[in-house]
Amino acid sequence: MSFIEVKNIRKSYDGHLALKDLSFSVEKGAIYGLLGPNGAGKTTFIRILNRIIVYDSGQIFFDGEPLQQKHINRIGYLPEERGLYRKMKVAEQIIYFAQLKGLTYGEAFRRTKKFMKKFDMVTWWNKKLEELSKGMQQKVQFLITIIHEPDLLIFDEPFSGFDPINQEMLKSEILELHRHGKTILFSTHMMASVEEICDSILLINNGEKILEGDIHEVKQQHKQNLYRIIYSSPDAQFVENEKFIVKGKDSGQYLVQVSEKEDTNTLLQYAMRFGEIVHFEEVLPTLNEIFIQAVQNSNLKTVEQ
Amino acid sequence: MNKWWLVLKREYLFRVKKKSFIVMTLLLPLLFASFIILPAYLMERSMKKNYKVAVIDQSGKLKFDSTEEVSFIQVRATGIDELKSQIDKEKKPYDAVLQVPSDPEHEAAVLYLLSDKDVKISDVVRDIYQQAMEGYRYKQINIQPEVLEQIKEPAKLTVLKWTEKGVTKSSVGVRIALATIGALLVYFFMFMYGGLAMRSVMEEKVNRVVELIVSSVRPLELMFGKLLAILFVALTQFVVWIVLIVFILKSVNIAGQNSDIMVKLNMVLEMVKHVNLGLWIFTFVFFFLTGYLLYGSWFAAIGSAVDVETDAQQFVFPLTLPIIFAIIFLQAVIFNPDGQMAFWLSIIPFTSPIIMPVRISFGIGEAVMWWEYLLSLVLMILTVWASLWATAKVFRMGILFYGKRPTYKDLWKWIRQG
Repeated sequence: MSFIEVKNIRKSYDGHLALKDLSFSVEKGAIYGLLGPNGAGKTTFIRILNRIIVYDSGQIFFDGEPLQQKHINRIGYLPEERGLYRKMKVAEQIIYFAQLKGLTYGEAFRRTKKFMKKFDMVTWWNKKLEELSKGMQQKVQFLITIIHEPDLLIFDEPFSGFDPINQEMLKSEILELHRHGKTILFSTHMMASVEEICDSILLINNGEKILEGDIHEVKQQHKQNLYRIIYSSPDAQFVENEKFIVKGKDSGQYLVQVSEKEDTNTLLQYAMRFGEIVHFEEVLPTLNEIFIQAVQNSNLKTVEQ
Repeated sequence: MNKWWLVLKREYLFRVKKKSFIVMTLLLPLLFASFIILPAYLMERSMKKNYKVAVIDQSGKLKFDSTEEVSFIQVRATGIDELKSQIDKEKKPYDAVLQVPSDPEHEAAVLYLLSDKDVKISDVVRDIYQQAMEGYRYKQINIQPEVLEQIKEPAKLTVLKWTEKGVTKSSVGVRIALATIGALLVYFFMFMYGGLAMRSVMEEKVNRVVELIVSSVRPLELMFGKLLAILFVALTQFVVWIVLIVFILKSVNIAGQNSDIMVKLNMVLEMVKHVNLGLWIFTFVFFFLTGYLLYGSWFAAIGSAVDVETDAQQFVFPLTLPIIFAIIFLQAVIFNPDGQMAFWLSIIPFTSPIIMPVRISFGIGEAVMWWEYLLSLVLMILTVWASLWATAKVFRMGILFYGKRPTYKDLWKWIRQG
């Protein structure tokens, strides 16, 4: 069942279309990656989902209902531009934002205590935010995002600005939220960061969808039939022919592209003639490569039009 | 609980707990006290001191009356040098020595001060010497001082106001005072707290917390919450000021029953009775609130549109022009409260919050016609309503607008699209 369903969303600023009839859906409990270069329309879409800005036309469904103001209490949002009240005390601040998301004071207080214990932040309770280090401030910001235990979490460029330790913490927390059945929406232009945790992705460029689907399927669709072969001896010489083309080599290592009609076993049999094989694997494109390729293609298309 | 209420509560508590707020709130009444009370108090204290003045009267004709302030001690000496040798310098029995010449009509008397500390002593002695000389002259030409006092008795004149309703005591003075106080308070309030609303919005925009807030609260709720919070901050400050000032005045009253300030204050209170105070207070409160909402909402909208303080100036300046204009013409309106200038300035909503309280001080049905008054009220309400509507739109678009300096065209576009 889809948790978020987006139908033909259109949004324009100053006569320029930021989103052009965008449609997609996010399954309940999925970790969904919203990918695209800077200026693709990711933040615009996220702001629409948070009801910060209004869209011109189209429909959005949240858990089966048309998106309304009441739903925002079920959304946790970590904006790309982080920021909190510098002069406010940490606990006071967390309680305030939790109340803004619809919690009563008592409940907000109880959860703040619970979460601050969990993240080893109890000693910061009465500290002003500006007295904390940058990393600590980001932990506070993360806590504010999840304090009201929302069903949908939106992370806009979550890994930018986090140090490696906090990035790891963030990742494991996100996976824990995932285990609890929360739906998670990532928005980023850093593909490597989402490759390992996303189930599905949507790639947008210039406000248009250019790619969508399960991450493994997408990779399969974009594979170039490349295989890596490693021989035990660095002197092994692979001789290419019209079926098997060498795309790269490095002392006993070969990257071979197989023409579409052939299968893997034929390549393996052929390759065995040139030495002892110690390693053989299919090389799938990284999300980054797919991304760059797709964006270039879509830009070309735009130019042609 | 409503979210705008949470915004209001946070903003209010944050502002009220700020050191600068506490200092300002306490300091102003103290400054007031030190400017008004302290000099009077010090004066009174120094008066209490009894000066001792030695008199060497070579004419032998003058009579010096000792008062509470000064005791005159006649000494026998031919001159200052002889006196010097007589007195013990360590003990200093006198504060000053007055030497009167044998012919005081033609020669000047000399006052020797034995220290520089008491500035007042020369004034006091001058007055008494003048009296002594006058007494001497009356005697010369045979006039009884009591006769002169009778002649100088003030002539009696009562000033009354004569209207169709009858004859009442005139209260022009207190009306001018009310007019000025009302206008200046509204002016001060709109400027200072409007500016505060602007900075408050800007702070949240600059430290980027605003995106998180508007993902939980509608921009309109955020703006109202803030405007109301700052209104309450202002009211808190006013109440503390009034309480402290009244307290200070009271304690002065206890200290010196017949203090000058209290006499004047009682006079003012007596005169205020002749003004329609209920209507004046209603008018003042009405324009105080609507004026704040009008300017506060525009200030908040400006705060939302810019992200650097200097960029705000270009918008703030035109906004403050009507206020400055009204203040410049304040004097003219006070002296001619039913003139053309007064009429227009009290009708136009951007200047009416300052000018209408002035005109109403001079009486409804006299300086202001009822229809003018009601027209002004209705126009103000409509303008505030329209402003809140427009500024909410600017606010909504502005808070997420970063980097570029917005132009008037942008603001207009936001109002149309928002």
